[in-house]
Amino acid sequence: MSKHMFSAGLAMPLARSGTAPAAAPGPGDGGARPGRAQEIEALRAVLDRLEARHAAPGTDPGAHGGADADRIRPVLPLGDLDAHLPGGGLPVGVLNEITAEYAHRPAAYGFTFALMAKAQKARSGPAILVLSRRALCDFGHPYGHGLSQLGLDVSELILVEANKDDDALWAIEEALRAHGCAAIVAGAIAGSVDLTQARRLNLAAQATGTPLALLRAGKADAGPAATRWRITTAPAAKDRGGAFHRWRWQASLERCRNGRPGHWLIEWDHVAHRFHLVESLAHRAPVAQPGGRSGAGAAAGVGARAGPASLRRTG
Amino acid sequence: MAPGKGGPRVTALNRAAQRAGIVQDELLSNARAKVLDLQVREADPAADAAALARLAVWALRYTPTVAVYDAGSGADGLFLEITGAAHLFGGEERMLADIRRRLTAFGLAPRLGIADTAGAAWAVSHHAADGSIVPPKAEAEALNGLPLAALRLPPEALSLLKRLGLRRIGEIANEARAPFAARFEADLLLRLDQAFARRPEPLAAVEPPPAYRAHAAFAEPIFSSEHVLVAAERLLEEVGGQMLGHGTGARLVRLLLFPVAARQQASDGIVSLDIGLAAPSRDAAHIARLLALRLERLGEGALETELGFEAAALHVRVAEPLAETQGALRLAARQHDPHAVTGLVDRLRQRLGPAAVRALIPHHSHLPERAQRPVTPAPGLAEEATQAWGADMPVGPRPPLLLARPEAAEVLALIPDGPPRQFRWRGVLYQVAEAQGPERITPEWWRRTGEAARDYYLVEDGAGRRFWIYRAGLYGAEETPAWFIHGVFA
Repeated sequence: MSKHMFSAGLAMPLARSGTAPAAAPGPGDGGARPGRAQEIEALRAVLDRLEARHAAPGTDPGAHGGADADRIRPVLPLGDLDAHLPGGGLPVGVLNEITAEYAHRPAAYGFTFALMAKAQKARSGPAILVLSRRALCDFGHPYGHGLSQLGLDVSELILVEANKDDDALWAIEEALRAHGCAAIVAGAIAGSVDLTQARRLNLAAQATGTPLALLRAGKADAGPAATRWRITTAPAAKDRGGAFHRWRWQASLERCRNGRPGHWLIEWDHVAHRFHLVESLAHRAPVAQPGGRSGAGAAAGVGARAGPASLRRTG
Repeated sequence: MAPGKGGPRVTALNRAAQRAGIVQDELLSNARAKVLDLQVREADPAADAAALARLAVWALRYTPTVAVYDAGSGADGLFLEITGAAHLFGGEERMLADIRRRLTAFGLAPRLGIADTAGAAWAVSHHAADGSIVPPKAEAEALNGLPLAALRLPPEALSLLKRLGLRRIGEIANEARAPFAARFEADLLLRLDQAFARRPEPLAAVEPPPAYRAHAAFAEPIFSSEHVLVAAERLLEEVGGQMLGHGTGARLVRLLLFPVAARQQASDGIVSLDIGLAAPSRDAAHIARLLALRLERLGEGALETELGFEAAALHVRVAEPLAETQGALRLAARQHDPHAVTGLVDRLRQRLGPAAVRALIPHHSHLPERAQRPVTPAPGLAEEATQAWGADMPVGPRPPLLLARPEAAEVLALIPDGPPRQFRWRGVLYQVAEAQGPERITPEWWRRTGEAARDYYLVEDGAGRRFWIYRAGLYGAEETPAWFIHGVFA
């Protein structure tokens, strides 16, 4: 069959033959599903391109290369979560928001620190953490030995403390624009960001393609963030002897540009620097056939909807 | 006036008193006899010294090396080292005229002189015609006719010389030295040699001379921070050129702005801004940007001036070697550009304050709160810190967030020396579901603070909130032990 396709030399059937084997082990997809998934994928690529052009109207068109360069957006791989994220990882060069209820803020800090550790492994340069003093005052200060146990390379960590949120946002923007020298810029502010501030952060991150994670309080609003995570606490994984082994958090992806929201119980492996989806949930949800990106994208939605319900039962 | 030999004496006098015939160091009773309605004030040497120090700072506009007269020189004037500075003001005559004009505007009556040595300059300013300029290597002609008092000699030596019939400098300058060396304290020959440039005279400058400097006078006074920045960048380019020649870069830069002085305010209103850099740099645009951030942080008030600034000076206070190729080599060795990081650190520090940007290094201490130290990030620190963080890691779990100080918690423990079952912290009751510990941490015995040993537990409540909690003191003592939350786990 594939011989025929090659002789025909058509781009479209070729692509379909590529995805068909990956989609085959999935739960009984008809012939129409991959086509639709592809269509969505293609439309997203167009959307991506339009957004990129819209966001940076002044940039030299040569810097974008062609349409292909636009399509492949750099991401930060996170482990098991990648299957549920568009592009296969945390988007880079855009604003990623992390929020948490007051009582769950330490967990949100933990998730942020884990992202920083991940970025340090994947990219060169120091991790920069900008904190506004008000965001810090309740839960203390970053502690090197603890960060180190979370997998962070503390020697490549620069802490910036600002008195006000506005100063902190300025510092984040400045750090993003510094020739892309940082592996990741993470921030924690006590308040929220308005639309203008979020756009500024987006532009600064896009200019250098630096990963950006902002831990913030405040209401969930429809800002221009690429992803928004809400983190809540979860009991840690214990080893056979009953000792604490790895930290777990509940992560709900409330907003995801070009992707679907979802809710997972995640486990941070501070040695391998990757997130695991906790098994008890992963086997229930019909998700994540590794490899098939477009197939997984469609299936992730189903898994995501099943996720929260099963979580409530366990928690 | 001040108390002196035989009663209060006149220490300083104004022009009206001079016209009335009063002379310095006269007994106050004599002066009163000459002028019936004489107004007298107590001398205040401390205030005089302070005023002179302020004037010295003002004089930095002419040259970076300014020294206040020491007691031997009368403690009532300034030495300015103007080597290489006079041409900036159109030559020595015009510089002197400029100084005179401004000092007069302050209401002072200056006496000025220029010579090759501090001693000769002092002599001509005090005893020759006001404003004398001694041409290079012509001290002898200028000084020989002056009275011996021009050598800054102690009064005893002067009176002895007088008794010997010696009055002019020339009378001793050309004589054999041996008899003088035998009769007088070392002062006489020392002062003579200093005046004739045969021996150096160290000056105690009000501030150590900078490594590099540049100076600009503005045709029109400038007010706005934009103009100041443009001027500063020009000066930075100038010193940058000097530093390039020496292969150095600035670590500490000071910008001085001199306002158009309002009357009777000698040195008030001089703006001095210090810019510290995380790594040596001679990049004018970078340092100018730091300056802009500093001005932004200081706000509107920083450049407050009534009449604008008429001159600016830029001093590189600390310079360090900076090889041109360093950046390229480091760039190849590591993926990212170290200059980008240090530049960023500089900018953040200028805007947010010097303590705002920190890196963490471990510190060898048993107590968790002392086991890390914040330091200013600097190039090369990361390599040291990598080894340090790798070297001694605590065995037990440590929280990523440590409270500023341990906070008391009410704890219910099932068994006296066991982990807590439930605890109340900040008004919230937590039921402990899992606990791990204890890890006993004792303060260093050499500290002798009387602090008790601590038993740390990592506890988790049913919802997954994790805390680092400790019991202070060993069980068995009379008092019930106190519990503290010391950190939160992610």
